[in-house]
Amino acid sequence: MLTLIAWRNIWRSPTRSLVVIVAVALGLWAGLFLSAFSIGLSEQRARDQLETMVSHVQVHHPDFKGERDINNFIPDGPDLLTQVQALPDVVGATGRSLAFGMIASARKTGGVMINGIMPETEAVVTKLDQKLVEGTYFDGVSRNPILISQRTAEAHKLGLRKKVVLTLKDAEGEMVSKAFRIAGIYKSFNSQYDEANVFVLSEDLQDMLGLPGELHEIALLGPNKEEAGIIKTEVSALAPEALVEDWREISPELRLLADTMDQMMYIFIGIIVLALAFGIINTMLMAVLERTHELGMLMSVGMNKFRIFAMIILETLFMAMIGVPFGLFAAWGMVSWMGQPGNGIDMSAFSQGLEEFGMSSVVYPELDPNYYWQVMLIVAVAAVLSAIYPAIKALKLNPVEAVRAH
Amino acid sequence: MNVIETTNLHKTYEGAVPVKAVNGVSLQIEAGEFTAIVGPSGSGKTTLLNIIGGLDRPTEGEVIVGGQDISKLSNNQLIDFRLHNIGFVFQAYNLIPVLTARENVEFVMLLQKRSRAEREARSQALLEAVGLGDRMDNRPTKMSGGQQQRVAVARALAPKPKFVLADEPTANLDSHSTANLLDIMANLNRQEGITFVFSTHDQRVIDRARRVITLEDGVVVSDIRREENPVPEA
Ligand SMILES: Nc1ncnc2c1ncn2[C@@H]1O[C@H](COP(=O)(O)OP(=O)(O)OP(=O)(O)O)[C@@H](O)[C@H]1O
Ligand SMILES: [Mg+2]
Repeated sequence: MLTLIAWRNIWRSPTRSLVVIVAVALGLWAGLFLSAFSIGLSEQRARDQLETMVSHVQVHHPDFKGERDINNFIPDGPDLLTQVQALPDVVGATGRSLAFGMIASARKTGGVMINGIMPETEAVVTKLDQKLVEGTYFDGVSRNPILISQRTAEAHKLGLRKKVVLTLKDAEGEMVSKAFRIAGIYKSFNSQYDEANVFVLSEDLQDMLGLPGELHEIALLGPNKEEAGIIKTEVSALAPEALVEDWREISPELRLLADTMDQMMYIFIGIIVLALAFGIINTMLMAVLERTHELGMLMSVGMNKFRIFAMIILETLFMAMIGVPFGLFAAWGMVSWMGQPGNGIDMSAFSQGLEEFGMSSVVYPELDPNYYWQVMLIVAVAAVLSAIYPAIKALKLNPVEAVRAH
Repeated sequence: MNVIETTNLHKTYEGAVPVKAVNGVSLQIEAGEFTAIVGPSGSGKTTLLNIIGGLDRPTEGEVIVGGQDISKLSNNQLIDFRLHNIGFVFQAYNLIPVLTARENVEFVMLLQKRSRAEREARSQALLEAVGLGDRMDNRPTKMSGGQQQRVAVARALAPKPKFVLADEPTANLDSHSTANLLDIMANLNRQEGITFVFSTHDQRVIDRARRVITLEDGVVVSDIRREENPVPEA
């Protein structure tokens, strides 16, 4: 009967209760949808970073990282690359020779990381071909083609087909130089990266280094970032001596980004819930004050404090829980619909030219089903907590005072 | 047998000027009485009834209800004591507006944890006894003031209390409804032996009582028993 009274009490001031119900529904919907959007956005950013730069898994000589000594190449690199490419889960794999060196133009000289790459597979793994803003992807230059970034080109006042000279130490420690001709100019979303990297064909670099065929880095992509761990294990089995890392290890900042996004979401939900809580407290206080006489009568005829308290909490909980399904359903419907290919939110108006970098500008909201339950629980707990103050107010009523007719 | 016994009861409201609302009242009320507490406004009727009903505590003196000294009970014990021993009819705000007449009557029995079958049978019998057998499923908002007070009487009787306290139960009623309610109360008293203690200003109500206790300034100034329940004058 407490339940019955609590339920019917909601409909005593239908407008007031509806305001709370609608607020709960809207708050929930907005909170969930924005969460889904943020997750979608951060997921997409992470995916883009991985699929245009970091890759899912990288292989190095255990001592290569840090010093980047060119003599620490991957043992049997080319063989390993072939084996890795044959793994069923691997979508793309490419090998790179890497060396620090100097790039010199008529105007100036600067330090760079020289990436000796395999153009075809590199295009699969990092979409380097899509990052070109000028020129071609290693075509149109008969010998020693090089790709430099727009930034480097500007700094050196260089254009297509101009010549640059790369200088580096070979495997014997001797300084070697070679002239390259600019085939293309690229631009990625990371200007720091752009300043520091140039791309040449792996054979040309290996030739300079005196390390024919040797690879310093193998980068590969799996079907998605969640399966990076599995692929890592598979690759490790093929190359027990090499250092195999997944993206979490290669790029801790990407992980941090995802975590920060999560925290932001909880803060966001927290703010919405706080606003709801104030609305609920206010509504229930009004309800309690309106029913002073009635509550006094109930205490007089023998309704104990626990029951009075429970009645008010129940009433609040019911009110919140009527709003919850509407909010959940609206959010779920919108998230599922927009999560379908072609229905995502096009962000190109806000982030110009993402496609230039081989990234997508369409965000597909997504939300872990568990999250709906969590948020529902949060709202329920918030409703109960907000009801406590009005309920205590009700308990403080003195039946003698409350029951005196005025 | 006394159902209510007070000895030297005092109640002083502290304030800028302390008010001695009840000032030394010693009373015995026996089972089966039909007693009116009368007196001018401010004479302490409500205060006295509240103390007897365990809603308020005396500043001094003892209240023994059904052999139990209720001034020794904690607040929570008092709530339970009221639930099982006392029926209340107030001047107004007696009923839960969102419940039907029947649900209002059943509600107190539910608090007492009585069985569903008993609740249903008793609520029906009581509402029929107060002449509302055909209005059981109406909510109070759809009833006249007199009907609401009759539901309140049924509700007060539902927990099988030792006695019923009614503070000016007819104050908001017209003369027809007043007579009707009094008939019902008098019948219940005569036929079922229910003890009623009520306060009133209304001479017509006073005339129906078998015992009239008059208060003035918190003191009993007269206590008159009439052995026969007088027939109401036309
Ligand atoms: N809570 C209180 N605080 C202070 N004084 C009070 C309080 N309640 C009652 N009084 C005073 O105590 C006295 C007795 O009041 P009480 O309500 O018992 O009288 P009453 O006989 O019921 O009057 P009425 O016929 O108007 O209902 C009055 O002077 C009243 O002003
Ligand atoms: Mg009074």
